[in-house]
Amino acid sequence: MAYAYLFKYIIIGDTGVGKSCLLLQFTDKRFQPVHDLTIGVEFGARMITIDGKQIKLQIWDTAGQESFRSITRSYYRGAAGALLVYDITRRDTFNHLTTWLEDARQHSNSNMVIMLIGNKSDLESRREVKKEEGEAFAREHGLIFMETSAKTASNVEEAFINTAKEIYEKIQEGVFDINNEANGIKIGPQHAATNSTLAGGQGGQQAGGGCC
Amino acid sequence: MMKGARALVGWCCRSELLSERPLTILLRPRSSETLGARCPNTSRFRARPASRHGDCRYKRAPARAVRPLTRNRISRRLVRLLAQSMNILASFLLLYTREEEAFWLLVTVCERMLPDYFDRRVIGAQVDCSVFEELIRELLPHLAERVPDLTALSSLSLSWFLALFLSSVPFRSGLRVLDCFFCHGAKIIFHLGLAVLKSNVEDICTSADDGQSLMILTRRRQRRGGDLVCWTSALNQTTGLLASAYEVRAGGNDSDAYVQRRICKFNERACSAEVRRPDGRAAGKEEIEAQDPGALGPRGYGERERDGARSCRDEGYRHDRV
Repeated sequence: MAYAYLFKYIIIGDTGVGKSCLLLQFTDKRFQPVHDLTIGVEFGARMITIDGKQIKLQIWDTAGQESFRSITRSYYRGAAGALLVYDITRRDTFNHLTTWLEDARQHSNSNMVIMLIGNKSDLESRREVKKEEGEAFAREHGLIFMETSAKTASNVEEAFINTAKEIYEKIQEGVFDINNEANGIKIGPQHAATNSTLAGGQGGQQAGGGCC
Repeated sequence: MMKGARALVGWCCRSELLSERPLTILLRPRSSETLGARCPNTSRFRARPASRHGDCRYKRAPARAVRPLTRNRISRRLVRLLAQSMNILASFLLLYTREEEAFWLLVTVCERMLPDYFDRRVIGAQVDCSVFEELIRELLPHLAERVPDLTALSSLSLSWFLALFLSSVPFRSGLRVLDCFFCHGAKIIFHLGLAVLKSNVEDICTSADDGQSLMILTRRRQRRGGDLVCWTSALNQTTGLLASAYEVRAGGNDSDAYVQRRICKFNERACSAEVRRPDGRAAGKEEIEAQDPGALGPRGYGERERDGARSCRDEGYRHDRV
């Protein structure tokens, strides 16, 4: 299908915070209470519209387990946006955010838009991390913040779309070099026809440095 | 048993696995629930939601696949090993073998067949992914030419290798893959991976970006839980793929030809046995497609596969027990 831009996203965070469920809710609009553990990386895509333009989101859902960390790192490069997810009912997933953020900043391009997501907001009775704490963390590190629930679908769309809006604004401001695919942005076929500077860019993303 | 268990515990200490999260993965009955989702007829896999949080937590262990493992201390140690995708393999093994046999099969897989696959950094699997990339370049040059960056494909192959395809193919086909794996060793997963790519090479080459090619390769799984037609066709596809996986092997010998024949045979029998007529006779292909999805399930696998199992028995893999 024709699209104006393609944005590459990556979803990161501790194991069991609901990364795969967020993706499933966003792409398929359904919730699966018991989900397989993600092995390596999984993948989803969806079309959204921003400012009247079709934008394809290509989302890489990574495994949260420690053993896959080295593999996850190779996906940071070439991502335009990252969703950093924690579980509001588990304090430790919030405490690990700094490690994740360091990892992301170190291995991604500096313009990557990072959105902090406190997931499982439907489980208010078991909440361990206050909303204010999440907001404070986001403010401190310059992230966008949102609490979502993959189960009730609250804020899930908004989380993905707001990140895309932020990236889109950055493109308009000229912060992103859209002709460099390593930034995680690709111009779609309908745009490329008018953009003569883009050489016939077929072939995969030049992302990551192999798997080991 | 004790001696062996001690050896195993020693091995896990060396590979730093004992410090992994204790008693979690298999005890949290996700793995078996996943199996349950894949074989709707097996009540033995079904988890019951706990009454306290009726939402996403399943408190009660879903029976056989989990219970034996919690019974004694050796098992508890074994369960601690079940990092990553190993839980999938373990649940498959526990369906058809006793606890102790499953234990030794897991030891065999971890130590001999797939060394370093299930350690902290899944190094073995990562190495095999690189090898797989090399194999793609060598054996599918057409594909490698069109898709110069194989990172996306290798990320997919990682989950194939770690879960031995069990998470990407339907339950029944997964058993078949396991059979072949125990008969012929780790090389069969390379063959199968190449066969999957080979059968999709046209689609991958014409896809616009690496995301789309990944979609093509995972669509079989996404159809999971759909209607019976897609189940049987996925089964057909996988057994067909296994057959062509053996064709990929260079210089196949007599035993390979035998295995290939058996796979084709299995294909036919699995289709007809999958759905039975009310009078007990096996249904024809058209009827399979017309029947309802609930007719599927792994029951009866044992009887049907008994003679097939005989050929595998020397290898120490017994799957004729239900």
